[in-house]
Amino acid sequence: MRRAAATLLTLTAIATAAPAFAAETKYGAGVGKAPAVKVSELMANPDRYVGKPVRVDGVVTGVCAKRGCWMELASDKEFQTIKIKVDDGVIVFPLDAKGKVATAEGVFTRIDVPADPKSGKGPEVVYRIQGTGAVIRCVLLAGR
Amino acid sequence: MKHPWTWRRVNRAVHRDAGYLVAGLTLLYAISGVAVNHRADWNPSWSIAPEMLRFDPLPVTDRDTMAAALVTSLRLPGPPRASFRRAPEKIELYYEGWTVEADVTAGVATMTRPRERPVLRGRTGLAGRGKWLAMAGLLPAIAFLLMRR
Repeated sequence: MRRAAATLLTLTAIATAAPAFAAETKYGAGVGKAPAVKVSELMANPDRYVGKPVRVDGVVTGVCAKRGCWMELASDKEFQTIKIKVDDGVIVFPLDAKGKVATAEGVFTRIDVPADPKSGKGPEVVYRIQGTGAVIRCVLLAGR
Repeated sequence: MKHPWTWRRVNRAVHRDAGYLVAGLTLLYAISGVAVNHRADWNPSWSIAPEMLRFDPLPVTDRDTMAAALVTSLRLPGPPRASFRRAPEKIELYYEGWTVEADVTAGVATMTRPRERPVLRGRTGLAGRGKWLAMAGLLPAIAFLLMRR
């Protein structure tokens, strides 16, 4: 009986350690259903994609440091990024994902940020993807 | 020698045992209360300790040249696996599990190496890893039940 228990504990250890060595990790519903669009194309023609599901890929340049509730992907165009926001606690992106290559999927969304009289900032339009799934890989993307 | 069950003995035992339980619960709720009220101030799964570095300012050129110059200037262990520029003078280098963010004109860099907390883990723990791994979480409980026999 003790041998059976030890076997179970070993299997658990292997199962829980497995994701740490996986070449790619899936988050949420994963990816593959939405059409792939370049981030630069989304930002150049946002009105064409607002409200539609899209799939983007790029190097992870930022992850929410508090809850892992968003990640930011580098665009194919320099100095440009796009944020993938997910529901808190439903999908949690790991902090060590920075620098890895990710593919993310979700609905391209427009957010109208009102003016803030305290800081003096005017109204702003922010575009982001309301993420439904993602895949993060431990490989390099050519040219990035 | 067996003691008779008097009202005084029962009353004392109940209050003592209930006291142990309530004291434990008070401690538990106090700690979790502080943690939950300050959710925005800390990450339960990762600890982050950024380290500030200074270097002689570098010229703003293309990304690859700037990355190579920064690696040499900060004596980093080889080229990064990826890099990115947020602005012409701001470059980020990504290594396995750690990053360097630098402003080359200011000569200031921040090295960040997030570490997973060994015990305290939020939803990135077993529950956040999918149904198969969540089910794997039941295996230790079954194992301990078997060991009791």
